[in-house]
Amino acid sequence: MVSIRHVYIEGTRSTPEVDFDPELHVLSIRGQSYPENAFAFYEPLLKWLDEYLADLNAESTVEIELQLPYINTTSTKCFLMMLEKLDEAFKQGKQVGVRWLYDEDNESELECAEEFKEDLLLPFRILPKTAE
Amino acid sequence: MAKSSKDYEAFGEELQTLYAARQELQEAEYAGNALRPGYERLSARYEKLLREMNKVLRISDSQSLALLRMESELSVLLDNAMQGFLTVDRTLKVQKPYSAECRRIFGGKIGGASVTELMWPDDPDTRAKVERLMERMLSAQADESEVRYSDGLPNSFQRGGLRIRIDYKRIAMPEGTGDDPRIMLILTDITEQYKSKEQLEFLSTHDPLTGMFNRNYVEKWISDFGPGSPRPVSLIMADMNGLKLVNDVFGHLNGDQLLTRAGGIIRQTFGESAVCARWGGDEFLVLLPGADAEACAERIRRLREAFESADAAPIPISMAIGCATLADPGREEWGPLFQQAEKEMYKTKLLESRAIRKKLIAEITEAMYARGIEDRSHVSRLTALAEGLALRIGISPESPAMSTLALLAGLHDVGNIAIPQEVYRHDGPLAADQWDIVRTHSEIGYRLAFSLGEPALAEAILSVHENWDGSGYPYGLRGEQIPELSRLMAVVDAFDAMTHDRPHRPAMTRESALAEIRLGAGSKFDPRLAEVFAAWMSEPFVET
Repeated sequence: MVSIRHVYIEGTRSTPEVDFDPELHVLSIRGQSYPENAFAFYEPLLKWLDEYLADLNAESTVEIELQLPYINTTSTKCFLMMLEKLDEAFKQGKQVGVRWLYDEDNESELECAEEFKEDLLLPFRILPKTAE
Repeated sequence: MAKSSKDYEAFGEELQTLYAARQELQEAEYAGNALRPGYERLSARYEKLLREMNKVLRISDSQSLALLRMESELSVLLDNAMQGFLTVDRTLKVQKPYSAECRRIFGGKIGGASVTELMWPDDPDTRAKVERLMERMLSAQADESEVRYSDGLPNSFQRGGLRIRIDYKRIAMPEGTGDDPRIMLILTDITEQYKSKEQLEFLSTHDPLTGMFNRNYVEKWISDFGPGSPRPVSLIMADMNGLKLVNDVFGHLNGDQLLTRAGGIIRQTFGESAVCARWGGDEFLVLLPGADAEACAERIRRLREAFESADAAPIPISMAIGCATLADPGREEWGPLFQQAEKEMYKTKLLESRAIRKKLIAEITEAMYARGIEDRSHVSRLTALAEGLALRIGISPESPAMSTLALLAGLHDVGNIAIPQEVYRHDGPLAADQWDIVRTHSEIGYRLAFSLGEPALAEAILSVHENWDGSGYPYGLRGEQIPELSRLMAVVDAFDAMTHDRPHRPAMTRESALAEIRLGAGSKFDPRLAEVFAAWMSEPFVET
């Protein structure tokens, strides 16, 4: 089996910082997301996630950390796809969860997080950033 | 599947289609249909798509609302920041939005206007320079050194009476927006601060009372006008006569007005090319670049003429003047020059002092006549009576006391000159506070005589209204505590007043008046003087 590589993408004004570390099982996406072509940005990450989740054994625990102060509509669709993949893995018995950090000063962040959480079965913690 | 009908209300038709498809799938007639599995997948995916779409829309709506709120909060912040914020792109035209303060500064909407045209409409050179520098700022890479004020960017402009400070900042636009960098201009209204600064600068070089230059300015001017500077240059020093008298008698407000008027006349006479300064309390200084001794003397002559033709309010303006001229460009002689001018000024002051005092007394006496405080016939009668009584009590005709008495006859009520007309001319009984004012006239008269260099006269004026028994004013002196000349004047003044018509009562007969004098002996009047006077007046052939 080909080992999955570590993905690190530095954040920019329009794209979040991405850190997917398969060794440490640390996955995080932090920052605003409004790239011109969101699908082009997220598609490789979704593929990576497919491979990672397929590879993930039942003993490993992974909690993806999301901090998304603003995301555009296409990015929203991509995140729905990402969360669905994680939820599927959870349904298959893998120890997968979400930790969503929001800024208390930005009302919409909490609302969006709750919107994303709806209909999902996996553990989904929504925490204010100050709690971290 | 719906959380609430409201959630899907934008998808009514899609939901109906979905429900219809699901019902069709339930119908027995399609049970074996080969298309059924595909139809099922399609309807399942359609349902998922609807759910996702609904979710995406709600998230998007929530974020739009948050952005809108943030935008409005930001604009409230900017509009209330009391600073103008605007940006320009490569066209150097004002981009929207800009803050409300910009509309106030420029008097209207400015979107799309050339920023340099707005700030320097009448200055094409500045416009061209600023445009060049702004273009350089915009084309610079982030790591290149910034364009600064020292490169020639103006830090302020004026418009509609306002003075506005400008701060420039190059800003990179958010990635992905495809926008070029912009320059943000932050405009701050510094009109008030500028005025205060101007005021401070003015006060550091000017005398606040007269608006003339001050000593500080003159000293700087002299140091800039050192050896090698163009010559000749003349220096005039002038010391005002009678300022102390005006301050003491008429109050400092009148003294200040006299100084201001004198300063105005000096500035008007010497014009813009001269440095006219208030050098000290009552001293003025004028520097005349280009004027030799002859030109200087001519200018002084014109100054004297101007003083003479000015109003005497409250006294005529006159000054002791000294001057000196520097003629040699190669030599630094400011110190001796000042000494020379000053020496001449003090010499003039000393020489003229008697004449000036005499003139001032004459002016004041005239002013008393003009204002009806005193009348000539009363003064001439008093002078005759006072001198006659003085001779009878042994004061010699050539003595200083006799000279003082002559002055006292004319000036015993001189303090009234500073009493407000409405109090002085008040008909009927005076109110307590008006009495207090009237009673101050003795002290004002004292100060006036003292300022004129007549201390004995001053003492006599001060006590003219004291009574022998201590019931008079201002200090309630009694007996011989009261100067003899004051006691003497009290007797003759009372007699003359009683024997002549007054607005509120007719004249008494000579006999009745003398009876009053005798009656007052020992209480109001010095008994000895009253007796000598009454005896004299009772002699046959004494005319008054």
